[in-house]
Amino acid sequence: MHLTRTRLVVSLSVSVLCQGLDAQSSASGTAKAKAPKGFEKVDHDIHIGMLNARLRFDLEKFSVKPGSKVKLTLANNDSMQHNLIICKPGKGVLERIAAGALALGSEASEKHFVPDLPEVLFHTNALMPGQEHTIWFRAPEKAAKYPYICTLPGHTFTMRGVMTVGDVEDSLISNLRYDLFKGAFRLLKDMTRVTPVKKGVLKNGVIDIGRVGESSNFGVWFHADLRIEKAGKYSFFLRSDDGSCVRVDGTQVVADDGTHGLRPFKKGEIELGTGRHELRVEFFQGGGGKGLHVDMKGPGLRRRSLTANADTGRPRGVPIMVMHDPVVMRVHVQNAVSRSIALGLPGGMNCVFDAGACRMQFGWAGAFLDVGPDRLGRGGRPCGILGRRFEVGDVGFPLRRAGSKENTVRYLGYKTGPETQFLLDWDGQDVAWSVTGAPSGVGLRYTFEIPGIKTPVQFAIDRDGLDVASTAGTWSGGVLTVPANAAAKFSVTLTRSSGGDK
Amino acid sequence: MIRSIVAMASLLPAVVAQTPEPQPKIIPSGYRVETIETPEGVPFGVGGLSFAADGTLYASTREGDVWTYKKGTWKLFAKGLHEPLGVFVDPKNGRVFVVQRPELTELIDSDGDGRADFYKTVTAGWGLTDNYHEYAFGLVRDSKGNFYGTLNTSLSWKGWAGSSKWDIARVHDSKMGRAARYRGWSFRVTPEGRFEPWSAGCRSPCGIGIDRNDEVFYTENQGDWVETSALHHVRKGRFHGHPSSLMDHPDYRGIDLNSISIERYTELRTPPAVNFPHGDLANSPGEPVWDYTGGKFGPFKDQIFVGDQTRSNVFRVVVEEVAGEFQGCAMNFVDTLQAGVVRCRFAQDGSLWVGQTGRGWGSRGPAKYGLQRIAWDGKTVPFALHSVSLTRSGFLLRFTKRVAAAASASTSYRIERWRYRYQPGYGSRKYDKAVVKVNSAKVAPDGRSVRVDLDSSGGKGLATGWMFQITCNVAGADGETLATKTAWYTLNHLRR
Repeated sequence: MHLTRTRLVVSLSVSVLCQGLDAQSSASGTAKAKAPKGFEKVDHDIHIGMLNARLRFDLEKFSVKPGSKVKLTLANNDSMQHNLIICKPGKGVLERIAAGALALGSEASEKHFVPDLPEVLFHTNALMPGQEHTIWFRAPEKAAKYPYICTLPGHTFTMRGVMTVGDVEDSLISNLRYDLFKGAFRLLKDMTRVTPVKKGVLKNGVIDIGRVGESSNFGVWFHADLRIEKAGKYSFFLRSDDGSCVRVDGTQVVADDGTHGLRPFKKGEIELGTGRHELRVEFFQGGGGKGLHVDMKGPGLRRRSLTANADTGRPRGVPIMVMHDPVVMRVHVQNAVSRSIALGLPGGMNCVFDAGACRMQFGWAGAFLDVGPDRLGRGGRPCGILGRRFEVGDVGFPLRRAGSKENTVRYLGYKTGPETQFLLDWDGQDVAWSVTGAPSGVGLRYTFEIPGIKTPVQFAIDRDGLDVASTAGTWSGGVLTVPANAAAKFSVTLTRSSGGDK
Repeated sequence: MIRSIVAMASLLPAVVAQTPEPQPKIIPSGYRVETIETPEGVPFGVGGLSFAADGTLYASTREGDVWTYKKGTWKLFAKGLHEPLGVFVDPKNGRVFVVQRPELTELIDSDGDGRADFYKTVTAGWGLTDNYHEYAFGLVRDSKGNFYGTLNTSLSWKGWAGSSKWDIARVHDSKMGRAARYRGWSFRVTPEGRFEPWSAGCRSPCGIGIDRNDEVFYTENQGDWVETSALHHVRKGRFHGHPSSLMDHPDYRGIDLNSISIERYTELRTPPAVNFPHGDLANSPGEPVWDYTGGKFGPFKDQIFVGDQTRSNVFRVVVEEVAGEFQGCAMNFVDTLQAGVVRCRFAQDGSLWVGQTGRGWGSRGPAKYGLQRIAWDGKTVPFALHSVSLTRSGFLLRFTKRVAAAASASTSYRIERWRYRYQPGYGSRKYDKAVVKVNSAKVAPDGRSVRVDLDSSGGKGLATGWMFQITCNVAGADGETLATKTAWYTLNHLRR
């Protein structure tokens, strides 16, 4: 794992550094991004980053006009590798592209995890942490929702967004600028005692504390023009880490002052007439986590966010990626027992086995684990799963002998390889339990090898929310009965049913 | 991990400087420290070291890997383990065993490709919660094939424990407890794989070692019920002093451990064989290893070497049997290394390999982790205090070389004594500290040892339960000075 990753990194960084500029893209590490001919002025300037170690883009939707000129910068502020592919709309497209990226095999890093498929419209390079890459493109003429994803293995489940081509929702704010202050502020008013060290402009009209270039002991005032179409009462919602407030035309509407972590939204209201108003959002950050969320709503205006999804309160993680072979890790996993074995399977399925009771506890779709809680600092804390949990009908050790009360099982160890096998002693009978991802859908496939078994074997689960299939036997509720002559080796597939749990 | 990879990538064009390696402040002449480069871009908090018969080093890491090192090349042997803090390679057949948090595991490379593919459980006989302090340490084996290891108690500070079972078996309001079975025990695993709780009363038993007579020792870290870090001699059924573990002792089943007085615990416990004065020598010692190199590592043949995580040093320990029990002295050796030391092993060439990690606590050696090697040049005998042993009237100080004539002056020695207090609180200060009068110092005819007699009238000199700090202002016959002047002797028993 480590060696593989090291090699991968070296080849990638070299390729990025040596590639230089092509007509439509610019990777960091070269000269400053230079627009290709015809794109010196663009209609839309989009910046996308990541929520650290959470497998999410920090911008999950944006809108562009049909046929417009778009400049898109992907900045990898995460601790793992990512790319961004804008795809054609359509059923199953994302799954095909994700599978295509995985199928690139050893060529994946060279090709930036971008499969050669007609559904791929535009894409960035695969970026190492700290890199950024700008691409320029002309938006499609056809108004539709174009999804974008990251195709690094397992990331597609959670790293998704939508580019809407059509009428661009008029931005509520324009002319967004900021003043940056430096200092260990405790209250908003502390910023009034110092002069700004820097002034800047945020062209894409999104209030974003991640774009001002500071991580601790700073303050910022965002100024913008707020355009009001309908007169009436407007509500502003605010939460932040540390302090913040919203002012309109100099009047404070809502404040969450002082040093603190993220708390529930505070709400303030103000009567506004039509026309242009002066919006000011003040924010300061001491140390540790930071975040700023400002939403507004009003007459004819559904609640809408004015801020980037820039919640960076979580410490940096140590994500473990699964490439072409399963990854087995003994660690404490959140909501799993102490003697757990986490298993990351190629293709984005993951699960956690209980080496005490010999049962599968649960699975998740997405990338594998953030082992930061175990590895950073004194560590020892349970690791977080990097995806969406799904149930596997766990009712304990799933095998039974029909008509037998005896049912003790002992864990013997595991074998690694293309398939991971848990070896068990089942009342003196050897059992090998292999686990892979389900061939399709969200779920797992188990293969049980029970050499020399002379009796029928039952496999029992809680079937609620699961679609089940097996290579032998008959199902009755949650119990599969496999006749003795087929019990030496049989497989069971459990997938989350479409109407199943989320 | 990723961050270090990035750092590496950005350093690609950098030139590696070829300057001689800086040496620690304290190191006897004839010895050198050499830093072994660990795999590039890989976090490498060493948890265990073991040499195979062919000289291949196996190193397990906090991050869950086992790496092999031979002829300057690292290869990954196993991965995905849960903080393996001990590895043992069978010298006869090369079988590889690790102790990790949940179990003792054999790592089997069944297809011979150099990578383990079968992670076979030997035993999972102890309890485990998600409490970060529940380390399993090891790993040594006796001549009959029994493994020995130790199990850390659970941290019982509210909000810190990590486990919902944070306050189980906190005795007299101490800080460590027992959230699961056999926390605070040393254990034995028989060749058949049977887990046997072996001795109780451990707190944070970071290192276990075994001498050539199958005597097992472990090192303890200062804290609650541990007055200062120490070396304990392990025997089946012993109680080393931390009471939480007694919850799993058959004699204490159903007994409220808080109903037992500190005085009673004092009577029950076997005191440490050798104390390591906190702040003076060691704050968090790791694995003890014996110099069985037959002189390849210099003049300290058969002595015990221990590394310390906080102080990042390696020190020497010499034990002797007095009244049927081990006790003895400790002396600094090499100080300060690049990072906190937890594991030491002698290689076949007689060099001492030192496995290091700061493990989130930080250490005096500033690196986060690493591997260094201490080697002797094979010829330079440093002038050093070799060992201190107890006599009926004082101490016999042995030196590696002839001492100067002034060594026969009693004023050349400053001897202080103090007591530690065994108590539920965190560590102990030095109580009743006082200078002991030296009556005389006699140099032996060979010039290499000095018999120091103390004034023990009125109970002011030699007495049981005292720590002795012996400082020698002695030069060698050829004018050489001592690299370290001080030894500490733990007096549990007097010579009769």
